Amino acid sequence: MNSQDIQILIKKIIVGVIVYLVPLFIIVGGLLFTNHLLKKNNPTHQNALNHENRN
Amino acid sequence: MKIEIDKKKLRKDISISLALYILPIALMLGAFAITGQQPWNDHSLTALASNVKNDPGLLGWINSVFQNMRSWGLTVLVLALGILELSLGLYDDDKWTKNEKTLDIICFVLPKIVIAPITAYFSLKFLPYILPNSANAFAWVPFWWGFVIIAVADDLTQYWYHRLHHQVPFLWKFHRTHHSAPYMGMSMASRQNIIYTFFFSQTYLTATLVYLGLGFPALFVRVIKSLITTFAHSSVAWDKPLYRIKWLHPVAWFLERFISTPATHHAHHAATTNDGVGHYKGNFGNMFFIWDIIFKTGKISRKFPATYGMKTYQQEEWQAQIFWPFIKSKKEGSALAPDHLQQLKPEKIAPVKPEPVFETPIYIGSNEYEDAVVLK
Repeated sequence: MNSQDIQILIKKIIVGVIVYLVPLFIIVGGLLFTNHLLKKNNPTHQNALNHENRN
Repeated sequence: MKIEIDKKKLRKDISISLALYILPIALMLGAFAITGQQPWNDHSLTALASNVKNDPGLLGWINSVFQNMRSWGLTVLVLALGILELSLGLYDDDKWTKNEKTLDIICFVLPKIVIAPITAYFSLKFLPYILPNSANAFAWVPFWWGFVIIAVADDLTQYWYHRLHHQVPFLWKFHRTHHSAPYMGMSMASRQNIIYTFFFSQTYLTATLVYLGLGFPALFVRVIKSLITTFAHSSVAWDKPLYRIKWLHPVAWFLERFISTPATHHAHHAATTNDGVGHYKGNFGNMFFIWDIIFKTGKISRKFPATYGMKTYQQEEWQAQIFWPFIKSKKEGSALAPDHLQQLKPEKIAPVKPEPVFETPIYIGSNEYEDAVVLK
């Protein structure tokens, strides 16, 4: 392994992390937004979630 | 070295992808608004996983089938398929050399021994540390919506991971092992460089979504995806009757656009595009082919390529193919040889001619990239 290999490896890892994080943020953001809307429209929603987490 | 990237197309495709990721969630939200469904209040829905597990009827049976498929069934099925391929003489003895056999077998076994514990550590230790108190935060998502969310998230991410490894030159060598074989078979699905497999973005994405509460739908997506990708690589072409029998043509028309079939995926592994069948510049979809249709990277073929692999393949040592860049090939001129990166410098490729060798317009295909090196 030389410095160029390490450079390529680092770049490859960065690409992998970006390809992982971008959809993750979109999906988690979308679900959190949905959660937020549901909570806003229905106050019992948070209670239900808390109940599930306890279980 | 100058590589022209079609940034406009790339930006457009990325924008479409972002919309595709959010689409199932937006549709779910719309469905809740229209139907008035409140899954967060409906404990029969949120507790679907435990209900199904305990169901003595059909649902329980389906659940146990998928659970067993995931734990040991898929491995047994793939091995059985391999035995079938061997018994049908689909592996050419001249092509399936000792080096290729060793490579295929190690690539099949290694991820199960090395990668699986690492992803388990990621799910069980790393995620609870990074995202404490978030376990099952989205467990209220109904099963079918969770299924669609996971299927799109996992497979679209793999489409991009795969596509980038073909279109970004410095990533190609991490994926080269998957395309080096001059034959097709079930073992192709797992034949990868270890770094490629280790950093599979969609594995970690799905693991995170499982941690957040989408584990039950993820089980079904994983099993279905494994079946589709394994059979797309297999030399047992299950899709041939669909093209031969006329009344099945509508089914073929739908399937070849929706999922990866042996015909379309074999075209991706073709050694050449000159036969009008091969299309190694596209057909990047793994479970779904629909991504290739949406992003116009697909080519639907009902014929199978005459040759597979790469023109530049030098039967590099299995160690180099799995562990590059940690282990290099000793074969002179090989893309995996220690001095290969030096060869990519324009001044070394063409010291007399000032014009760069790599002025190949994007999207350069995998084989073209290495051919350019050979043409020096």
